[in-house]
This record gives sequence, C-alpha cells and structure tokens, in this order.
Amino acid sequence: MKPFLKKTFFVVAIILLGFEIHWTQSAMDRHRVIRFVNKRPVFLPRGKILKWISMGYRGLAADWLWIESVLYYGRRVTDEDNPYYVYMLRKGIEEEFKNRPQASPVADSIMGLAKDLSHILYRFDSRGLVDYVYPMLDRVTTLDPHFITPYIFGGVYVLMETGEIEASIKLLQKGYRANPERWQLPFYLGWIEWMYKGDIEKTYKYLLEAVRKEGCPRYVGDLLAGLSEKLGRAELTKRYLKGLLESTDNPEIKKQIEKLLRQIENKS
Amino acid sequence: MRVWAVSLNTFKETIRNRVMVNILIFAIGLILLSLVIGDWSMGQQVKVIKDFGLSAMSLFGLLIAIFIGIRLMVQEFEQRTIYVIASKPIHRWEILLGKYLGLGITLAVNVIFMSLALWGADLFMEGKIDFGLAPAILLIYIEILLVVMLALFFSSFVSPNLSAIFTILVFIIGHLSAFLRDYVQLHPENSYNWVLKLIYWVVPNLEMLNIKMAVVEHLERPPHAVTYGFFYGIGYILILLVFTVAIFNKKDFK
Repeated sequence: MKPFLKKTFFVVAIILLGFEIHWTQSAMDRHRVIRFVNKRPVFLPRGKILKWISMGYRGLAADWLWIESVLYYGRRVTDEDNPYYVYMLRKGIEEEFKNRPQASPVADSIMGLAKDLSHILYRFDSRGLVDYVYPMLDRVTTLDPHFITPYIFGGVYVLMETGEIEASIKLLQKGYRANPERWQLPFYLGWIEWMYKGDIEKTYKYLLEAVRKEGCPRYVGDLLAGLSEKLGRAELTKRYLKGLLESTDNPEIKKQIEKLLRQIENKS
Repeated sequence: MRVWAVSLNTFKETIRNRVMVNILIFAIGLILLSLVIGDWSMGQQVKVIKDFGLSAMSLFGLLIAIFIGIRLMVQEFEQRTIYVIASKPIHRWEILLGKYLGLGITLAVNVIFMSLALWGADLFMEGKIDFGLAPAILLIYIEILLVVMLALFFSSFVSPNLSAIFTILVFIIGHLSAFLRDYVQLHPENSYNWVLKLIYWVVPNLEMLNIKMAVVEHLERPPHAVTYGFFYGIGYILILLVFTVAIFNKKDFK
C-alpha cells in the first residue's frame, strides 16, 4: 500500500472510531440516569466484618463507603431537579408523596418556631426513599468511629428529609459513645430531643454535657442559659457549672464556663 | 564495604525496573486523583486525600515489595549471576544483606516520591503541609521493609509463586492477629486456643505499624506508639534476616 493511502486509511479509521465512541457514549448516557439512580446498594457485610476485611485500610474503606452514602443519598433526595424524583413521578407515585405522613411540629409550642423553619424541619419528603442510608452510615462509623461528619450528616441532615428520628438518635448516640470528648454529639442529640420530640428536659441534660467539652461554641452556652431560665433551673444550672469549674484544669473550658455563669446570673 | 557495593548495584538494578516505575506512577496518579474524589465527600476532602495517600503509599509499596522482593535472589540463580558473585571474596550473608539494603534504598526513594505527591496534594487543598503524617509514613516504610524480608525469607526455601502466596497470607494474618487475641479472650474455653495464641505470637502483628487513621484524624495515640512500632518491626526484620542467612548459607548453589 502506498504511504499516502496508508495515512488516509489511518486518519479515516480514527475519525470513524471517534464517531463510534461518541455515539455509544451518548446512547449510554441517555439511559444512564434512570438505571443509575434506581440501583440499590449492593449487599454489604456488617461493619464488624468489614473491619476484618479492610485490614489495615479501615480509613480508606470508611471514606469509600462515606462517598457512596453521600452519592446514594443525593440521588434519592426528592428535589425537583433530581432525576430520581422525576423518575419516581413518571412511575406515578405522586399520590404516595401526597399521603406520606408528616410529623407534627412539637417544638412550636416551646419556642414558637417560625413557619418557614417548621416547614424545613418537618417536610420529610424523602421518607422511604433512602432506606439504605442509615445502614450505610452505620458501617462507615463502625469502620472509622472517630469520623464525626457521618454522625452529624445522618443525625441532622438525613433526619430533615426522612423524619427517621429513632435512627438518627441511635447514630448520634453511637458517635457520642465513641467520641465522648466532642461537643457536637450531645448538642445535636439535644437539638433532636427539642425540635423533633419536644423533650426539653432531655435537651437540657444534653446541653449541660455539651458545654463542658473543649471547643464548645458560645451559642450552645447561650441556648443553655435561655433554656435554664425557661425551665426555672437557673440556680441548679449555676451549681452544676460551678462544680464543673472546680473539676476542670483546662483554662479554655474554665473561661467558657465563667462566661456562661455570668450570663445566667445577668438573666436571673 | 562489600555489602555497600552489592546494595548500590541492587539499587541501580531495581530503580530501573519497569514494573516498579509503573506501580510508582500509578500510585502517584491515585494520590492526585484523590483531589477529585475528595470533592464528592461533603467537605471532607482533606481527610480523603490523606487516607487515600497513605493507603496508596502502603498498598503500592507492598506490591513492589512482594513482586521485587521475591525475584531478588531467585533471578540471581535463574540468570546464574550468583556464581559470578559467589566466586568473589564475599560472604553469602554479605550478598543477601547487600541485596536487601539495595532494595530498601529503592523503596525509600519510592516512599519519598509518594510522600511528596501526598504533601503536594495536601498543600494544594489545605494551604499547608501536615508533617504530622510523617510518623505514619515511617511505619509504612518499616512495614514494607518487613514484607520484603518475609518475601526474601520464603523465597529462600520455596518457589517464587509459593513465596508470594505465603507472604500475602502472613500480611493478611498480621493485620488480623489482634482479632485472634480478642477471640481467645472472649472464648477462653476453646481447646484450640493454643494454636491461635501461637499464631498471634509468631506472626508479626502488623497493626502495630498502622497509625494511619490516628494521624489523619489527630487522635490520641498510645504513648510511644511510633517508637514501639519502629523497634517491633526492626526486631522482626532482624530475626527473619538471621533465619534467611542461615538457610542461604546451607543452600546448594548447584
């Protein structure tokens, strides 16, 4: 074959193959969205077994499952621009969406929540559509018990979409057992007790625990001060905080508690 | 001096190995890819990059250790170059130690390159370099050296394929041996517990050399975890070296 013909053949072949790849890719993309979102996560062994299997790479395995959980959750949340939502609507489940039970905003009577806020907290649009997210987050947190974000993600953000109160509490309590030094976990547990269960006694208990942790921000103390005033517990809170003050050597926590004490004294 | 000459020669030989260069490029590529993967993790990019980086360093380091470690002495016999070396005024243990140190230097260069890639990705993401990862990298290197020694030990008396299988098995058991100890404590009534205890004490507990999760999440480590891990690894390497030298000295070169 002449060199010119050889080159021409080569160029034509590349162009044709390029078109062929482009065509197959586009064809796959047209069907991908539905197939992809409708995919259920594969069966995974329990967290303890995953711990064995992942050997010295537990952090890596936890990250991988975490990303899988976030992607799975993202694909199934019922936002209007989410292809899964569109797919479910096309399948004709509008009625199911309408009839899905909504929780009553119990916290309204306590703090007089604004309507917008209660709409956000009690929408629960994705109830029943993200049934694998808690089992997946359970595995992530078994593999890496000190990875805080999955607890907060499951305990707060997923809760807002699904209304799975007990599953959220269970996940946050698991995190609190594994990370007793982190303020975020009792804080969010207290938040659920308040906003979703209306149990301010338990909220009060959790906030008292949160304020003694290192790095606890000021607003948690503000919340506790407000709550103790509301419950008529200012004296009890002051005594508790004074006890805490004596029991800790940490200057950061001391400073935080002293500030909180002054705040409660000013209010009462 | 003679050990140094052999190790320098081994270093030059192994650094040119195509398999090793490919694995190294792949590992660095994976570390850089974690920049993209981290983007899907809801604000956990830095954690993901560090986890991916350290795990890639360990996994690919081990791959190089197993595949090159096993061939290290075997190829000398296959290519019959061992006769040339052994005919020189050099002890057998000097050949073995020189070969081992040579590969050790090559692996150190690999670990340094992978660490630079990881720290570069970290600098890009966090705006600073987390030198707190260094103890984990040191222990990963010790683990790789221990696996090379295991590969050399097994390849001194079984075929290359079998020694690869044995090395991988010891690596797996080594990471699970803490579970064996826990199992014995939970079920003290089992009659076969002595077998599990024997495995626990004979097989190196590679979890002693694993502080990846602790450095990434800045967790409190047991006191002197790095020092104990370092000397634990070195102790096993030296014991295996003595056994391997003993077998190598008895080996018939014909």
